[in-house]
Amino acid sequence: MANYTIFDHGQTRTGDARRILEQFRTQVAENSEEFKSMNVDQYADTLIEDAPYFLDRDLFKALEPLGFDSKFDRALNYLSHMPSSGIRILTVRAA
Amino acid sequence: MGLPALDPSNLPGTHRTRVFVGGSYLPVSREILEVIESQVRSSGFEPILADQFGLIEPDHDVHDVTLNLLHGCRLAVFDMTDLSGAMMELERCRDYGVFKALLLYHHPFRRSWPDDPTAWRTSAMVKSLVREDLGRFVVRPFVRPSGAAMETRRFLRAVRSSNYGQLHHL
Repeated sequence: MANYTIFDHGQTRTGDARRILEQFRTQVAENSEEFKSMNVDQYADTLIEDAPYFLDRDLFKALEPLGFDSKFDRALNYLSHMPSSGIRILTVRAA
Repeated sequence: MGLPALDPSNLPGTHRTRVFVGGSYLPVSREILEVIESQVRSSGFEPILADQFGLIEPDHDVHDVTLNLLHGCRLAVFDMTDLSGAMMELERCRDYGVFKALLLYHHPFRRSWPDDPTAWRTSAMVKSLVREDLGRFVVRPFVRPSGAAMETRRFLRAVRSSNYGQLHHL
C-alpha cells in the first residue's frame, strides 16, 4: 500500500489513497447530496468512471493500462491528473 | 465518420429555442459539451455547437461565424472549466440579447463561486464581467458529468417557467 503526499489547494496531506479519498469524499459531501450517501469505495468508482471526461484523451489512454495497487490508488492518480482538480501528487512511497 | 457539417447560414430551431453551447472544443472538454448538448436537446431546446458548423476558411471564419451563431440564440450554456474563446462570447451576451447564460465549471468538491473566491479558476476579467451582470449569468459548479446535465436541465426549466419563458411560449 503506497503512502502519498499530495498538494490540495494550498495545503499538503499525507496518507494512503483510501484515507485521502475519504477526506475528499467528506469535503464534496458537504456540498452535494449525491456524495453524502456514498462510501469511499463508491466515491473511488465515480472518479474512475468520470475520468475520461476530465483527463486529456491521450493521457487517459496512457494511464488506463497501468497497474495500480488498488482502485483507490487509481482514482487518486486520475484525480491528480485532472487540470481542474487542484490536487497534485507530490511524493509516493511504497509501504 | 462524423455528421455532415451544418450550414451557419441556415440554423436549426428558432431564435427563442436555440441554446448556444460554448466552451473549449478540445477533445477533453468536448465530452462535457456533448453532455450539455444532449441535455439541451432532451429539454426541448436546440443546441448550437460552433464546431458542428462548416467554415469555408476556418482560420478566417471561426471568430465571426461563432459570434454570429451566438447572436442567433437567446440562451447559452458554457463550460467555463478551462480558459477558451468563450471569454469573447461572454462579453457579447449582453449586446446580442442573450437573455440568460449558464456558466458551468468543474470542481472536485463542488465549491461555489463567489462564496469561495478561489473555487472558479478563471480570469479576474471574466469574474468581473459576470459579477456586473448576475441577472444574466448563472454560475454553477459540477463534480460529475451528470451534474453538468442536471444543472443544465434545472437552468432551462427555470427559464421555461419564468416570465420570459411564458411570454415566449417556451
